[in-house]
Amino acid sequence: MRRTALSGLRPRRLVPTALAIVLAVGFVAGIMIFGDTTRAALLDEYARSARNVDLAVTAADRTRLPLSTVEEIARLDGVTAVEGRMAEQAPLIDRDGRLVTEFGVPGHAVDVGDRAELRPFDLRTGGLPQGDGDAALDARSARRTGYQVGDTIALVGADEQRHEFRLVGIVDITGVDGGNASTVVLTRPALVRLTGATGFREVVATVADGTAPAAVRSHVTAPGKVRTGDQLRRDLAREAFSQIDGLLIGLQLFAVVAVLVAALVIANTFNILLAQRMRETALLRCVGATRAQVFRRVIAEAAAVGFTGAALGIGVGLAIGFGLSRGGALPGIGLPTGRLVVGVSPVLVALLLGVVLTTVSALVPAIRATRVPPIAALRITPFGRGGSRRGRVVLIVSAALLVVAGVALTLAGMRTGDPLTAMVIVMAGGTSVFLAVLLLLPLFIGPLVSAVGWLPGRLAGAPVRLAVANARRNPGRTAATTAALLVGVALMAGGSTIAATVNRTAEAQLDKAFPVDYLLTPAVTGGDRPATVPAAVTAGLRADPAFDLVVAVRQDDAKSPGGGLRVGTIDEAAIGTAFRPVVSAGRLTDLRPGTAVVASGSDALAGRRVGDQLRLTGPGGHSITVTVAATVQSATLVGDVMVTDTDYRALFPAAVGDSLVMLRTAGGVPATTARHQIDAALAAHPLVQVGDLKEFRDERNNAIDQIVAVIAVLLALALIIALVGIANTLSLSVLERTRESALLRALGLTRGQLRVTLLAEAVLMAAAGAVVGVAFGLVYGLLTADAGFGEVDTLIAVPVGQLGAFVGLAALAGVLAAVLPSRRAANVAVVVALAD
Amino acid sequence: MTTTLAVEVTDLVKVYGTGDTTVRALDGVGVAFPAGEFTAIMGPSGSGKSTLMHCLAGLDTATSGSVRLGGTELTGLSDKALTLLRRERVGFIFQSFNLLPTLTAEQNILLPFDLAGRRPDQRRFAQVVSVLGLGERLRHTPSQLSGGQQQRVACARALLGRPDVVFADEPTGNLDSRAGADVLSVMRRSVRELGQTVVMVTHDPVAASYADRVVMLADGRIVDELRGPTPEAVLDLLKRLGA
Repeated sequence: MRRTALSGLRPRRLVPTALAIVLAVGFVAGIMIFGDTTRAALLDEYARSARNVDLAVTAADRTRLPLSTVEEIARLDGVTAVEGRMAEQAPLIDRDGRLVTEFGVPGHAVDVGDRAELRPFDLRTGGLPQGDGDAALDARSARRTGYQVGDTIALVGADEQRHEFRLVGIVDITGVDGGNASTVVLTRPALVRLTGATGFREVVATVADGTAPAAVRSHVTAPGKVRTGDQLRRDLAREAFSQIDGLLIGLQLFAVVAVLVAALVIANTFNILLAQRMRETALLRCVGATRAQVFRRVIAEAAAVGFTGAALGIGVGLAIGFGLSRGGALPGIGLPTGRLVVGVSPVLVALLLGVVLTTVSALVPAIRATRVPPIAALRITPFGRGGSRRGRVVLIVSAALLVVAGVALTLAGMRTGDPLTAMVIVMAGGTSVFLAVLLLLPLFIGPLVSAVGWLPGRLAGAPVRLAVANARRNPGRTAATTAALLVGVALMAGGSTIAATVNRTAEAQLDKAFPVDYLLTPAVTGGDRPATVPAAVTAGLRADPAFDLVVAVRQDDAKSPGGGLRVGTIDEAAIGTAFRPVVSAGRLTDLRPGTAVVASGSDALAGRRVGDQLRLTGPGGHSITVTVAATVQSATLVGDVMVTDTDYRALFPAAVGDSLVMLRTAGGVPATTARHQIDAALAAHPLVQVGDLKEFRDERNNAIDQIVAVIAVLLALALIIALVGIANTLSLSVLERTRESALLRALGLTRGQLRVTLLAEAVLMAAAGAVVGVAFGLVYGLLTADAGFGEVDTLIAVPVGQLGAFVGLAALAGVLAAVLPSRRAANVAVVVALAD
Repeated sequence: MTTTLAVEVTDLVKVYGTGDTTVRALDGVGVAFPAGEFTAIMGPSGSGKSTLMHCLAGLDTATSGSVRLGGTELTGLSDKALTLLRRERVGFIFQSFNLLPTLTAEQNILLPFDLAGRRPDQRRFAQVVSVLGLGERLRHTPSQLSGGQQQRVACARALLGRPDVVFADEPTGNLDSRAGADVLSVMRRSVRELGQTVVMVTHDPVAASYADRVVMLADGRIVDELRGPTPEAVLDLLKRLGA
C-alpha cells in the first residue's frame, strides 16, 4: 500500500498545497526565530548593568543606599571590588530649549564610576567624562536630539535651573528603571552637585574566584534588595522579555490566523483532489483495497506533503525572522537587534506543525474518500454533488444556533460596563457569528457571485458570464476557497474600522475637552507633591497678546467619605468656553462658593445628586463642605470635583502653582510666533512640558495609520495563503474542465477570452469573499469599538478608502492567482483536449 | 450543374512526431465538399478521418497542403483568426460532451453568438428550435436532457448561425438507434430544406447512408467515394477495403 500511496502523489498538483504549508509554517517559525533573536539581543542589552557583577544591593523605591554601603560591602570576606552607582532624575533640554521626555517622564543622570569592569555602559564614540563639566549621552537620545560630541548640552538640576555640560562621548546604556528617556553620564561630584544625590541607587561588587556569591550575600546587612549576580541577571532578563512579550503574543495571534487559513486551503485542495480521484479510489476498492487502506493512503500523502512543506517553510521562517528583527529595530519600535538565533525548537515545531496541520486538514477529505463505493468506478459521472438534504438541514440549524449565540453574546457585551470585558465579549460574539457566516457561505456564495458579476457580465460579455456560471457550479468549493480570503479581509476591515472609529471619537473628545492650541503641564518629577506650572509662567502668558485665552487649572488630592478624590478649580471665564463638560443634571453656572460640580461616574461619588452635601478634607487637614450644584458624567480634566477658587484655597491653602494651563492663540498670530513666545516664557522654568495639540493630533493620526499598516502587512500573509488557495482551486478546476474548455475553444472562444474567463472567475470569487469580509469586519469593528468606549459617545467612522482598498487588494490577489492556471488552460491544444 | 465548394483541400499532409516515431496521419489528401451537400467521411480507425475533420474545421493545422473554407485559405492563419472563423463560419456537433453543463439549452444554442457579442435573428432562432422540437426544453440544463435531446441542442447550435459548413464527429456514437436516426434526419433535412453543408465523420454504415456521398479514407489517403449510399453498399465498400 505504501507504493500506491506514493504513486498517488502527483507532485505538480500538490505544489500549491505545499506552498500554503510553507507560508504558514514559515510565519510561525519566523516569529519564534524573531522572538529568540530579540530576547537574546535584549538580554545582551539589559545584561550590561549586571556584567561581571557577583553581588548587587539595590535600594528600595524612592530611597537611596547610604554612601557607607560601599565600605560596608568592601569589608566582607571574598569581595574583591565594589562600585556604588548613583542614578538621579536629571531632565535633558534639547537644542530648542525643550524638555526631552518619554511618556511625560524626563531622563536621568548616572555617575561614571571608578571601576571599568563594573560600568553599566559601553562607550560608543568619544570619551568618558573626566572633569566636572563633561557629560556623555546615551546613543538613542543623541540620535533623537541631534547632539554630537563637542556640543554643549543642558540638564535641569534639583534647583530647577539649567546647567550646561560639554558632551564628550556617546554611550550605549539601558535607561534607568527601564525607562527610555535620556540617560546622561556625569562625574560623581558633578552629579551630586546637579541633583543633590545623597546615596546610591545600587551598589555592586565582584567576589574572588572560588567564593560563592550566595555565601557573601548572606552576610550583607545593608538595607535594600540583595541579590547575587545570577539572580540579578535573571530578574533583568524577565524585565527585558516583558518588553516584547506583548508583541510576541500579537504576532502569535496573526500566526494562528495564518495557520487557520492554511488549514482551510489544504482541506479544500484535498477535497478537490480526492473528488477528481474518485474513480481511481473506487477502482482501488474494486480490486480489494480496504477502507482503512484508502484512508491511510490519503493520510500518508498528506504527511509527506506536510513534511516537505515544513522543511521548506523553515527556510522562509529564517527570512521572516530576519525581516522582523530588522523591522523591530526601526525607530518607532526600537528593539535591539543582534545575531540571528536559530534554536532547535523552532525547527522541531515547524516540522511538527507542517505534518500535523496537513494531516489534520486532510482528515475530513480522507474520511470522505473512504466512503467512495467501489461501484463509483463504473459510473460515468466523474463525481457526485455533495450536500444531502439532511446535511443541509444540519448546516442551517448549527449556523442558526451560532448566530443566536453570537448575537446574544454581542448584545450582552454591548451592555457590559467594563470596556475591556465588553470588547472581549463582543469579539467572542463576533467569532460565533463569523463561524455561522462561514458555514452558510456555500448557500449564498452563488447568488453573491452573480450579483458581483452582473455589471461586469453586462459590460464584458460572454467570458464573464461563463465565469459566473463556473463559480456557481460547485458552491461548496467556491465557498471553501473564498473562506480563506474572507478570514484575512474580515480581520483587516475590522481592524481598520476600529482604528478609524477610535481615532474619530478620540479626536472629537479631545476637541471637546481642549478647544485650545497648547497645553502646559509640569514634567513628572517623581516628587511627593504633584508638580505644578509656576504661577509666574501663567501670569506672564496672561499678559501676552499672542494668546486670547489663557486658562489655568489647579487640582490636588483630597479625601471624602467615599474615598480619595481629585479636587480642582478652573478660571471662571473658561466655563462654557474652553471647558464644556457634558452635564447630566443641574447647571454649571450654579457653581459658586459653597457648591461643587461632581462627576457622578467616579467611584467615590456614586449616587451623588444635585443638592447633596459633600465633605472634603485636604492634605493639610483643612476641610470644607460643599453642596452639589451640578453633576457631569465622568471625571473632567479639572478632576472628580470642581469647586470655586475660594473653596479651593480654603481646602489647599499651601497651593502654589497650576496643574494645567491651556492657551488659545489669538487670531492672526502664526503658530511659530506663539510657540516662540511659550518657549521664551519657559526659558527660566524648564520643567514645564508644552503640549502642541496640532502636533499631538498629527502624531496620533500617524500612530493609528502605522497600526493599520502593520496589521495589514501581517494579515497580508494570510491573504497570500488565500491567494495560493484560489490558484489551487482554479488550476484543479482547469484540469477538470479540459474538455469543456476545448469545446468552448472549438465553438469560437479565443485564447484571450478563455484567459479572461478564468481571470474573471478568480476575481469574482475573491471579490465576493472580500465583500463579505469587509461587511462583517465593518459591522463588528464598529460594535467592538462602541463596546470599548463604554459611556463615551462613539462617533462612527467608516474608513471607506481603506475598505475599498481591501476589496481591490483581494481582487488583485484573484488576478494574480489566475495568471498561471489561465495560461496553462489557454495553451492546451484544442484537438488534444477534445481527444481526452 | 455548377456548384460552389464549401470546403476544398489539396495535398493535405499531417505528420505527428519526429524521427522514428513519425506518423503520417494524412498523406496527401485532396477532396472537395460542395455547398449544400451532406458528405460522410468513413474509414477504419487510424485512417485519419478525425484528423482530416480537425484540419478542415480549423481546429488543427496541417503540416503542408491547403484548406480553403468558403474561399478562405486556412493555412497560415493565426490561432485568433482560426478561432473567429470557427465562431462565425463553422458549426460543430461532437460525439459527446457537446454542451456546457453550467448553461441552459437556450444559452448553449446561443453560445457562439454570445462569444461574438452578436444577437441572432429571432425568426431564425424560432425556426431552428421548432424544426428540432426543442421548444419545451430551452430552460433545461444538459443534465436534465436525454442524450438525443442533447445532440439536438448541439444541432440547433450548429445550424443557428448559417455556417459555411457543419462538422459532425460521430454525432450518433453515443445514442440508441432511434435517437440516432432522429439526429441524422435533422441533419439531412437541414441540407435538403435549408441548403446547409454538412460533413460528418462516422464509422456507422447506417449513419453514412443518410449522406449524399461517402468519402472513404484509409492510411491517410482518399481511397474511394460513393454517391447515393445505402447501408449495404457502404458495408460492401468497407469489406472490400478491409480485405
